[in-house]
Amino acid sequence: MIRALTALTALLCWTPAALAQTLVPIHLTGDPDTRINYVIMADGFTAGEMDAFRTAADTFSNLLLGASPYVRYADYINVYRLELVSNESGVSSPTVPVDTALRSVLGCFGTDRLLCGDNALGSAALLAAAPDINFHIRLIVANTQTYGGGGGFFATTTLHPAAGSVFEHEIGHSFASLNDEYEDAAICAQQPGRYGPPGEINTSAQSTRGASPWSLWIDAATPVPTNITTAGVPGMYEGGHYCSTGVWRPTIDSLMRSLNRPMDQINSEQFVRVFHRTAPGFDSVNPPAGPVTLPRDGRIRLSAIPKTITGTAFGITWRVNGQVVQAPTANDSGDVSAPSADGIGFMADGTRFTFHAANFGVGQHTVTASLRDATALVRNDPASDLAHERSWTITVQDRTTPDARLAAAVLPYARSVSGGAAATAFATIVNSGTATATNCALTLRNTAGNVSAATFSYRATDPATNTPTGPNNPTFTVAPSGLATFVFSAAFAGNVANSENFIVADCDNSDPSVRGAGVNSALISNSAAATPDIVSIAATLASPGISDLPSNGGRTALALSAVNIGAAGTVTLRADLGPVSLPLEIDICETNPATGACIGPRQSQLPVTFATNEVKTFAVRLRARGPIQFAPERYRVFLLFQGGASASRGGTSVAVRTVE
Amino acid sequence: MEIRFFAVISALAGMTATLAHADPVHVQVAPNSFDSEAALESHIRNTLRGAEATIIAIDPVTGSVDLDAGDAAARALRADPSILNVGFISPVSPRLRRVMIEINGREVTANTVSREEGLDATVSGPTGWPGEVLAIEALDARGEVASTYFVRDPRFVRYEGWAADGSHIAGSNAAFVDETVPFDIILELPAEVESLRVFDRLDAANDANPRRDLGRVEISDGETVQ
Repeated sequence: MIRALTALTALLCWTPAALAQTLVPIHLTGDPDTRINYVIMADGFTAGEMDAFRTAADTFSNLLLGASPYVRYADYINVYRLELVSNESGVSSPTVPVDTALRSVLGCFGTDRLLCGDNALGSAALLAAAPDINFHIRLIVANTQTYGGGGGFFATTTLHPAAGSVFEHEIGHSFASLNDEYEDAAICAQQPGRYGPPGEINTSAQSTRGASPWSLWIDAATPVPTNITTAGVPGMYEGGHYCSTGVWRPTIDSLMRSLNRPMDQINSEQFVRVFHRTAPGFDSVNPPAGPVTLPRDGRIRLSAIPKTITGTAFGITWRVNGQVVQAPTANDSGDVSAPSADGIGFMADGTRFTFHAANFGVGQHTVTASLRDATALVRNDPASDLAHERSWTITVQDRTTPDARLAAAVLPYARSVSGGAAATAFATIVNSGTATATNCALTLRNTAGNVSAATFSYRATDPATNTPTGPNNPTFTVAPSGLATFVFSAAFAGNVANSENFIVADCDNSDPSVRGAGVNSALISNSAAATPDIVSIAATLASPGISDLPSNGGRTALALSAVNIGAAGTVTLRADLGPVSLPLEIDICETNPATGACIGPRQSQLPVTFATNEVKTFAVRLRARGPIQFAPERYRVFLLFQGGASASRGGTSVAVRTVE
Repeated sequence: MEIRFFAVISALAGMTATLAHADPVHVQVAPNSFDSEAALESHIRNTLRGAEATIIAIDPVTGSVDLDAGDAAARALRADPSILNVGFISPVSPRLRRVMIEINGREVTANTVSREEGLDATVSGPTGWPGEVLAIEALDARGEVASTYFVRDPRFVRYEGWAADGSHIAGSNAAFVDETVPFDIILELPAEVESLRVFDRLDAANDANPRRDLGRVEISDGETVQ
């Protein structure tokens, strides 16, 4: 497993020296896969001028996030700035080249105020900075006060005060597919060939109230055709999409007609629809939507984490085969007297539904989790863009649960050895079934589920004393509601760093125990030279092994204790979220073992020097910035001690979840 | 290093010419919870918010409503918890296959790709300035257009001139496409699609049918995905 995160922020802040660029999140609300990602890119800023770019980026971020319709959907949007260092300051003109990162030219294509970046260089920079992020809104800011800009796949702008409104107009085109609402006789003479017919979103060839694409917005008292000069009154105003006749627009003078105007209702409605098409209403579901198989006495808990609007989550309606089985209520919204008119209501349990096969019988069933943004910003939603759902097809088979149900756990999580020595750890196998698990054996698996390359052996232990008993690699039984304990060894012939290996138990009358990183895995490093080998354990406040994070943004804490049973050395202690993105803030400090008080600064990572057999303690603070469902096999905080090249020298983990 | 633009769109996300898809949908609300047909119909219409549906039968006493509706309407109805039951329309899950269309100047080729390849897409509607949007028609075995996709061309640049008072300057508009840079698109296509036709509206001024064909490519077997 590649461990990439100390926190989501850290994932996105990296600086490949060769590219002299840094991607910095300046408004981060969640996993980029579920967000509208807006990037502001520097061009013509030298290293010494980057503060000026940072200020400009904040301005362009606030420009969108502070205005309607973006302000309501701020939780849907991630904003990043890409600090590209240019060799020279400024912007090129067609006759005077300036050595800038994106080769922007003001006056390109023979047009005085047209500002063009090199789109291919821009794409390459984004790909290098964050290959996994799809940037939906891309803005290049050139370092000049001269007025200029452009639109297209990349919007371009300068530091000129009038630049902001041009940019907002341009993303009306490139993000929301809106038409121009202004008139231009020269273009109209070439219509419809040159720019196509009206798009029937904010310009229309229809002239009547009934046929208008925005008829739901036109008040019965508003005359059609409309000649009202008051701003922001929806109607049918003749003129738009370049022609003064034969085309109708929805308001007298929106931002798609003139700069420094509001978007107005119909254009805002389109933005909201596109927000929802781009960023799904659910942030995650567990298990992944799709087919599920259950025995007739089985059950499965389904969970769905909805998006939030200003910190409040959408309510979820759960159905089985179309029938409501769990619905949001006034109580769920937390305000009985005034249930949200907005379709929003936070529910402590509404994000989860447990499907009991016995209640529905053998056969195929469809479970859906649905939500809708009932915002007043949208009246017309023909494609139901604002309604989101996830569905699972559950096949209940005519069989019963296997007699035995196995789960496995490993401690310690990480070991670091040298010279091909065996790394050892303890494993516990639990049988939660109703029958004795018989003819069981342990195997060591890699992350792909295949047999690990390590030389593996195990012995049973006395659970009271951890003393090995019996032969190597025995078959064994586990009583119902019982457990079996083992010590195992894994040895790699060559050097390895961060090799994740899972203890899997399999018996004649059970499915194999599932693999969960940090639950039943051991992270093993083997090197030629002696290294620190740090055994650690974390203690949570309430639920053992689970860190309960307040949903209100409050902090919680972990206590971490570590002993170095290897060579003396310096390592870095850092927190890591594994392969997932979670809305978590984490900081760490070393503590006085006697008092628990910090004896150093709280940081995202700490250098720690261990003598052999030295014990150190640490405090870890965590804060959730959004909901985290309970999925202990997926959502965990790993606390890793790392040596050179990020090779693990020790570590432990706890599950994380948000609670009311 | 050669720099290429890259976009991926799925058949469902990018399809604008979907087949008409209406199924009978039975909706159940609490009996006698609406005091008239008009009140119940109004509630259904408000829930639909413009999603296409035809009401076939309605009975406020039993709380029963029958509609002809597509998946968008059914999705909107399912999101309304006051509707106790919505006769389920199975999600459309056509078998898809992935192909990569390579556009290099005026040359268009297609290759099959695995589902791991590619980045997310920018999908557009049919409108746009000349050169802003590429259109891809997916043709079935009979050569008929099964669906059409529209993808923003990342090489496109637009200029609009504005006066100091915020009004547009007539005659100022300009648009350009740097066709020297190759552009790849990954499409997830219905399994029955056999060929693709790619075109744009560049160089089409004063043309009532502004279409510049970039090429037509046959699709060999791609990876089929569910």
